[in-house]
Amino acid sequence: MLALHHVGYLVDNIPLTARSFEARFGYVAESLIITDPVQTAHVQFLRQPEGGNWIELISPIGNESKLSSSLRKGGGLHHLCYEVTDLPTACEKLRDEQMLMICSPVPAAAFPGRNIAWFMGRDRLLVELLESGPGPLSLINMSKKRS
Amino acid sequence: MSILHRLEMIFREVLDDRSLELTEGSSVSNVPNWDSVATVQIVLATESEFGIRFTTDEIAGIKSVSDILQRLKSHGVY
Repeated sequence: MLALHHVGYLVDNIPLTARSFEARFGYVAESLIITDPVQTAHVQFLRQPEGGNWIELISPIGNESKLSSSLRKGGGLHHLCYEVTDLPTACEKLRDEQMLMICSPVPAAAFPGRNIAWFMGRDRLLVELLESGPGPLSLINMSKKRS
Repeated sequence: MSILHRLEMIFREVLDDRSLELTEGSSVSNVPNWDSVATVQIVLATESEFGIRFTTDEIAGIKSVSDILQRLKSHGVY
């Protein structure tokens, strides 16, 4: 399985942007603001009540964050994240499809017990792969609740 | 066409600099705009140009043209 889990959106102020997404598009916050020291970012997940995936609002931790330069260039749409059942196989597939692993699988602060890996292609598309697993931010859990 | 010249073509396209002149001494510290994102583009374009695939460890250490030439050599590209 490889399914869109969330779209990453890089912002300066998460609470302000969350309010904007709530007012404009009816999103609801589904997590607290989580600090991820590995990704050097604060993140929060929002979802439309009937939506099948999330928006991840991302804000750099300080000026030394690896995300700060992207934010200085304007921020906004940042990456696509796909949830996968078999992370090593999905990594091999993306490598076969001319994408480069820029961060090997590591535990993700926002998804306890699950690993993430990062890829980039020649078109500069940034992709996060997220191992499927339990928890509130899980496509599998969302699917079970709906069935 | 020499390997260095083929790399120069790649760098010019990735960095959008038609006048860029590459030498074995070119590196991230002396080539304008050669950042981590550019490295990804350069590595993928180099793999495509020479029909090889670098390992993750090989890619992690690329900081200069000399690094790329060494890795190409280890893949049989002289």
